Amino acid sequence: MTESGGPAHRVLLIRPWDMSDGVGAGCCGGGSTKGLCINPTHHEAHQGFGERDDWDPLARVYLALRENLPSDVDLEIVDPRNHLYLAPAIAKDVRRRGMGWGDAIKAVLRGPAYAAIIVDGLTVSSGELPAPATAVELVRDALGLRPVQ
Amino acid sequence: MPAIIVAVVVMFLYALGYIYYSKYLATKVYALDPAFVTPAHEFADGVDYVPTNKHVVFGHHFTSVAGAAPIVGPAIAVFWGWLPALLWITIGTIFAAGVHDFGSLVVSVRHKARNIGTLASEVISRRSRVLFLLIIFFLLTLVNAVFAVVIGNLFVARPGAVIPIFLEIPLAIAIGQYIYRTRSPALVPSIVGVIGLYILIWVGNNYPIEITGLADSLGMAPRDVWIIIMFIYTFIASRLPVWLLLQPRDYINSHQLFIALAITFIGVLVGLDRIVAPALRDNLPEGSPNIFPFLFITIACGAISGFHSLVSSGTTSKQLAKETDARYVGYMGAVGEGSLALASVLAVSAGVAATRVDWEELYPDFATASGGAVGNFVNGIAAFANNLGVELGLAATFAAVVVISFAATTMDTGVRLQRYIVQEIATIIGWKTVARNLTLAGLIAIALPLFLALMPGSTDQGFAFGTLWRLFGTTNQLTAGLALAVVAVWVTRKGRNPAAILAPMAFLLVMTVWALIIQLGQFWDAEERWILVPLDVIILVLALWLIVEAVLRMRTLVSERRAGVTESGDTAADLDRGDGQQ
Repeated sequence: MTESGGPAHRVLLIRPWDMSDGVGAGCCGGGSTKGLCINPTHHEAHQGFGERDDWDPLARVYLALRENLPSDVDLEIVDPRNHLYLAPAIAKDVRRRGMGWGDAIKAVLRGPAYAAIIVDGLTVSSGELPAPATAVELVRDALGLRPVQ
Repeated sequence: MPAIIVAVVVMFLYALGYIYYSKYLATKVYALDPAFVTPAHEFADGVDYVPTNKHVVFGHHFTSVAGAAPIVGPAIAVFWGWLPALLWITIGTIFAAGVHDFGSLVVSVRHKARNIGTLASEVISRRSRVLFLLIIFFLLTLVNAVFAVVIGNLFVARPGAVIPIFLEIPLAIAIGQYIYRTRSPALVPSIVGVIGLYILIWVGNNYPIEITGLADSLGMAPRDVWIIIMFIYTFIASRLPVWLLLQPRDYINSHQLFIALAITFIGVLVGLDRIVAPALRDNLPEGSPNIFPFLFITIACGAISGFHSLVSSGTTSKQLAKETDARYVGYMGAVGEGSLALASVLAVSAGVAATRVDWEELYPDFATASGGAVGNFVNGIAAFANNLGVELGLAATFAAVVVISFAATTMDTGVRLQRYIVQEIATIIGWKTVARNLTLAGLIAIALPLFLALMPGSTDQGFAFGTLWRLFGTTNQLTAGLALAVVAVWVTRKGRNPAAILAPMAFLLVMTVWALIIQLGQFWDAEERWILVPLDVIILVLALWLIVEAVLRMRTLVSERRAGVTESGDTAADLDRGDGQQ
């Protein structure tokens, strides 16, 4: 933990927008079918919603990281449109590394790329999701941790 | 009175509500436990169940609950004066919506993040599952019908909005594809998308599109042609993958939501507009609906909206990292929607007219007031934007685009979700053809709202927003009543005082049933509206059904409590699994 009580490190997984959660369409339209499904054992009604099956690659990376990172690492999946959270979080993490505001602004602008993995403000992977083992290796390396045996 | 003072006072009351009342709920009623292992941790799968920072969850939750509905209701309800509308929004947000959104989130978290329909089935009775589906079916039917009319009316009144709304679709897809193919960061393209939309607003304002010729050749009113176009569009959109159309559009719209809120409140601050509407109208024209019960179903979203329980229990509850985060996410989500309703009241009581006489010309009777409500909101927001230096005509097109965008994305998902509900109901009653055929289910999903939007008499002033809107309000309040019943049963089973939940629930159900009974007589007597009698009767039956189910369950619980049972038969093993529900 940091002196302020926050997590020692922050890893952000930028959710690829085609694996995005529900649709924030406003009152009486928002959310996804998860709020309505009362009969999850049948699948006819789930067809065509582009949900679960498409998300598995991100889920595998998330679970692998969760399994292989210390508990003081804050691991978050964040929607790329959530600039109100991402911009200050990335800037704060970059500044915490002792880097200047110029670097912080660059990281904010370039960081939340498609499927990016951002460790303490710095992007270690983007453009496509790496294999789970590769993701673990990249993140642990960025955090200065020993590779998983 | 200066609008800014009203805004500051209401925001202050919201702050007090969050600080004190939500704390009372968190400690005494819901008894949040920071050590409770939430479903996000217990079932973490990286897909549905993901422990998430509370600010991130709030962002998703708020953009999923806030939209056009909290704009429309208050814009109609100031007909009775701005003070009753404002009081209901403020008191409703603090003592009803906050309790409801927060409570449905907590109950879901305590029951393995199950949604409110499943919980109703388990906590109240098995029959409640069907009740839930039917209420949502009619809720979505009315939402889709009313919002189609909103869009049709605004396209006719503000033809400058046509180009930006329709070109927003390829713009959104292009930006989405750009991000997808180049794998670039989303921030700059998102900003480009919003700027692109505003350029389109300027273009549209200079090149308005009217379809009078097409409508004449079809022998239809232009509004009706737009409504048909919208249903064709939403039917096609509901067949496309979410990521192709809805997500990119939603990217732009979620930014629009914050920009519109900022323009409203900064515009009010800069312009120092004064409220010219009467605080309480004492000269209501003969035949006006009574403030009781109609105010409380005219403003549903913005004071309390049952649809929020679907979002709370559908996605948000699966992402809470700590149970104590429910207070911030759930209660503040309600406050956020209340702020949007506040903006609507300010727009139609201060922005839309310069004098009392001008205002009374816009709200002479209920039919004119309700029929013109959305237009009044658009003109009010335009006045606030004009305070910031935006040319008035351009500002009005901007405000129209904001409302249409919200209404259109709500229809996009509304038709999609309705198709899903049709398939759920078909599965239960064994209609396999409908359950498996997306096209057929989609056609059924749009048939009833399309009929309601175009039925004989639908072009009368006050039909869509004076009649259909009130029916929508009743179904939305019924959904809230169902969710509150689930929360009340759970709190009672825990041996805690459910008064904070029972009070808004009883109030909502009384207002809803009262309004439905009055409307039944009105529909029966009115020429061309008798066709709404069956719809009103069905919703009334659903309301009575809900009351009976809730009373039966509460009576059982009271008997059990007297007998010394506080957990309603839960076994220790059940409790170990979470909250004793399977």
